[in-house]
Amino acid sequence: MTDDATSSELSEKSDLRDRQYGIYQCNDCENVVLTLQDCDGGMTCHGQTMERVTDVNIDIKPPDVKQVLLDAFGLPKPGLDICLCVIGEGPMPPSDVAEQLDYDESTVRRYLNRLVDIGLLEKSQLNREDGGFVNVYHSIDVTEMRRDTLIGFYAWAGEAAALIEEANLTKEEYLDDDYADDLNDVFWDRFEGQS
Amino acid sequence: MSLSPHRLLEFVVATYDEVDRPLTPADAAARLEVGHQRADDCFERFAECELLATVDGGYRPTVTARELLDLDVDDEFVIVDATPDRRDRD
Repeated sequence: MTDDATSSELSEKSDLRDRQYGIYQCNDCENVVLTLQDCDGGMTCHGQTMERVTDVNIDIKPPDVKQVLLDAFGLPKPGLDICLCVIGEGPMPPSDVAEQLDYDESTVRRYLNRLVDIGLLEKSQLNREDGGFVNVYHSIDVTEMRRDTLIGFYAWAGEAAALIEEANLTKEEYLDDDYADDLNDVFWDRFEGQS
Repeated sequence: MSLSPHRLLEFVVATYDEVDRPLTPADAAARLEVGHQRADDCFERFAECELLATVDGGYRPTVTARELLDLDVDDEFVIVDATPDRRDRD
């Protein structure tokens, strides 16, 4: 893909009028909100109707689902591969999953437990006839999963938005105050240890 | 739409309790709208997951299968790890 093609794609993405989501801004304060589902009558801020944002002035890079899952939930591609391999197949042993995906069984188990930690799967222990137990990894309710992943992602996006706001405030503060160090040093000192 | 493995397992448990004898993939294929190969594959996988045990030339459901059905999870995503690692056992 050429640079021109990339610019064109990003430019199209910047027109928000036909997007699945909506971004609204308050004309009285600096509040900006993101929603996937408009309420009747639109969004409001302190009782006033908010204005739908139709353009983005900054080029944005279209998200890649693998990167989104990794950044927001710490779920690498193998975790997603496991989900896609198993869904709708009925009970499977980890060995079959490992064989189909060409992973080690230990890798499959590690990612299954990661999916449990994230909250995308539940883990139950069932009795076995010769003593001991088997682990069963199963999906949570689909409606619950949709809600939890969306809220989880919004929480992550909120954290990201707070970081961007802090970055902007750091720049403003630097310009207003008399710092001896360069902006570059002040900026990265502020965010040291957050990444 | 083909019969889901979950429904097949439900059938095996219910039928075993009704007739009180081991079942074969051929029994399932004859009673349900499912091909012999599909029934074979499902029974084999159920056995790998320790949901069915081989007995007298057929299969019977294990206590694990009954507990799995009691969990009331469907076919969306189910992995049965019959060899959990040592950390889980301790």
